[in-house]
Amino acid sequence: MTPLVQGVVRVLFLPSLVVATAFCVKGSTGTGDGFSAGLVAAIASSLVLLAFGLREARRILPLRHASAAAGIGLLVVVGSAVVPAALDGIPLEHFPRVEAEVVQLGALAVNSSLLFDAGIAAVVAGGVVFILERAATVRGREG
Amino acid sequence: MGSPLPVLAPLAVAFVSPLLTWTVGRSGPRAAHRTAVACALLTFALLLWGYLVGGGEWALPWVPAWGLEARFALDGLATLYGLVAAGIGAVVILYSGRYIEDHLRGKGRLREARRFHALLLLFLAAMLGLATAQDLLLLFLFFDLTALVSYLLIAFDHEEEDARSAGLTALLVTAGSGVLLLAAVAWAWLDSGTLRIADIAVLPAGVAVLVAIPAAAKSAQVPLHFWLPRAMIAPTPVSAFLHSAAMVAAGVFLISRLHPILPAEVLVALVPLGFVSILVGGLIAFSADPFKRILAGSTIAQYGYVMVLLGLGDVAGASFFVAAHALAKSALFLTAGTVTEATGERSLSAVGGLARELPVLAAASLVAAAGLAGVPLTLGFFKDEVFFTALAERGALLVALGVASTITTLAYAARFWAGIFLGPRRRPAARAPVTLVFPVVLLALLLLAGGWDAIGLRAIAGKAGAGGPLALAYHLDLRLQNLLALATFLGGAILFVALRWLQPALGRLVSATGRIGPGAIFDLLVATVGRAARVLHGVDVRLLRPRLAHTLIPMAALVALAFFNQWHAAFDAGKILRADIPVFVGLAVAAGGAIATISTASDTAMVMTLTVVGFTLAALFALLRAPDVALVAALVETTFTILLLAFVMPLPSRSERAAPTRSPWLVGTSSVLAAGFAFVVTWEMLSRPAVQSVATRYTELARGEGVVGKILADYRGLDTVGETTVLALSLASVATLMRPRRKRGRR
Repeated sequence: MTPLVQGVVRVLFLPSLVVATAFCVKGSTGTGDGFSAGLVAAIASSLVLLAFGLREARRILPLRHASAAAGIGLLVVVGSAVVPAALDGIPLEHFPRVEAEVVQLGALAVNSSLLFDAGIAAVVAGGVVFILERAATVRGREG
Repeated sequence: MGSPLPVLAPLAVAFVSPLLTWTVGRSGPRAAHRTAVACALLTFALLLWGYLVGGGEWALPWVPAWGLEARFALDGLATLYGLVAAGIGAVVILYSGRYIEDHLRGKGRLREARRFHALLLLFLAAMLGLATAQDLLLLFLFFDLTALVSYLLIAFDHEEEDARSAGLTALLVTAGSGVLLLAAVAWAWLDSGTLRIADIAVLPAGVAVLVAIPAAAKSAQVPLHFWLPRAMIAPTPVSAFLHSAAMVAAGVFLISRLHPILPAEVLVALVPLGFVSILVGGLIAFSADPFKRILAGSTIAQYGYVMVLLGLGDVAGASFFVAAHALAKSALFLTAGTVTEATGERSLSAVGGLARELPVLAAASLVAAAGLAGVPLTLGFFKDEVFFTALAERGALLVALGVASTITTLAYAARFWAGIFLGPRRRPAARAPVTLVFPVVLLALLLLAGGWDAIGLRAIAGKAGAGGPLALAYHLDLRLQNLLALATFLGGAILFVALRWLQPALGRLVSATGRIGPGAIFDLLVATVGRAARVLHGVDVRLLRPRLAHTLIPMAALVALAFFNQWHAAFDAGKILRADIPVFVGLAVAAGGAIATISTASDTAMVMTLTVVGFTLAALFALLRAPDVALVAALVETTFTILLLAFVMPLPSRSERAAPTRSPWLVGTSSVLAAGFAFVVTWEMLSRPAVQSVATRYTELARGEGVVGKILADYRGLDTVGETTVLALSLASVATLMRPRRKRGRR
């Protein structure tokens, strides 16, 4: 790939992660959700993979941990259904509850549903990147 | 009741002990064996202590919102079955240390000894869980756990085809019918709104049938008995534990546990079932040649007795019977194992006259056979007394059948013992190791002690039936039970002598019925399923395109069914405004892309034309003022394009690979059908007046604006959890398929 593309990817990568985070956080009030966030992160990572090649991309991104990220994300998602159910009864209940006072962190209303969205994002991004890395590895071996 | 420790302590020890044995067993089979014996003895001791302090109850709220809890109690029934399982388990594990070492050493699998002990303990734990569970769902879970562990134990010699197939038969019959139990649990929940056994008044008759079938299968009752004789291929300690005291007991336990809430008129059907099993089991025991097969037939028959008792409503008697039978039968199984160890033979026709060489074993085994046959001075006498007492209240026919049954029992018990220890000597026997004789002696002593006075067991069995101690004693008078017992001894002796002439005919009868019996039907069924699977595999799995077509056709059929079922036939084209023109243009582009996809020459081009379709649709969502849907659509499209290209590009080009499109008509027709119905249904639905659906209402209620996020996270959040799991699983399986191959020659 040309240095121009590589430069553009370099410039775009961090901002797209910011967008992904924004999707994730804004999920409950505006456009976007954990699923979109994961896709944005995955697309950004695949751009790095395409522009720099597998070996260089492995240096830039923690590609080795993609599957672990997906696994942890799955644990978080399933956990956010199971843990409230085990605690006091309703699966997927989020804390603080609807009637309870909103915990503010700056402009951000902190709620455990953020964790749920983040989990989905991790599953999607981790899984897609993992598969892309595998595909690139197979291709590198054979081609 | 109330204190949790008496039930919690044995359960905890039982479930920790397999892990402990597995871990300690790393340092060798001896260490594993010692740990396993200690664990089983500790479990037994804790159960006994729990019984002596008056039992206990322990509940763990599980999902309170659904009314689920894990409730365990050490009541009379749980005590009896728990003590039997733990006690016999301890003796059998004691025995199996030496046995399994010899068994595995010849095959070079000595390292698996710890697996054997751990599995036996896991089975014990499952039995204990089953015995103490006070909740229908838990009952089902532990019932299935016993089936799974029994599969691993029966097929322990996994390098042997026969062992694997015997294990599979047992699993299919017992766990397969166990599905009915799950259905029964669901039905019971719908019917009474609770899963707690104590809170249920009485269950519908259908539930009773659904409970009785898996219970009968587990207790090896006709016609689902055939798994038991086949399971005799398992190592002998497995048979001595599972097929005398534990696995087969789980079936009758299930009925005993649910007895108070099952309608009695359904349970009466267990009486004829039991008698048929007594007959069939007796025939097997008379005609079989391998020792263990004789014992398997006898187990089928003996659990037939228990079924009769349960059918007559005598839970206490049934429990007592199970305990007495377990002691005698496990001793006989262990005898068979020791004889095989000493002589290398497995069949009655190959041995004889061993009483001189193995006198201690012969004496102990004689007590066990007498216990099985119900001879006085052994615990077995009381088990027949229980049986006769229950029958005597029900009239002459049942009494006659009962005596006929006990006569056969006496005859095959005599056949087993006399065939091994009396008669001409056919083969010299090596000295049997003490560790393989001592457990049999121990069980025989227990049987004799019980024959002196069955006081402890009487009280526990009485509590199992929620009553006082059973009234069992010797009476030196001419009461009915004693007369029946006398008739049994006389008839049994005559039958035993007559067996010499009857045997060839019985053997022919059993082998003839074996060819058309339930076992043969089962084999035919399994073979047919296998053949059908191979045919389907040839049609469906080998080629991708017909396979996709095969999923489209049923889909089209389902949609068509729903569509014609709710026919409104309002196809409204609506008014076309000038503002709609961009939408039409977009749709035309998407349609063009779709058509182009069909006719592309290369895979890469196909991916790109598909992308045209996807992005145009995303743009249309944006035009229709649904930015959040458009965003997701665009992102999904981008990701999929990248993924598809990554998959497609390494493939050889189409001209280089053989393209077996054998059925273009099938593919074409099914696609057109599915798409056509989707089109018609969508059109019809959009032509209806706008409906206030749950989804619209929910998005209005929700605080935010992002419909996709709302639906995913709130409206159908639990579905999202499931879908995320499926997504992760499918990504993982794709990744597994794409795993870079290891270099050759590294193995």
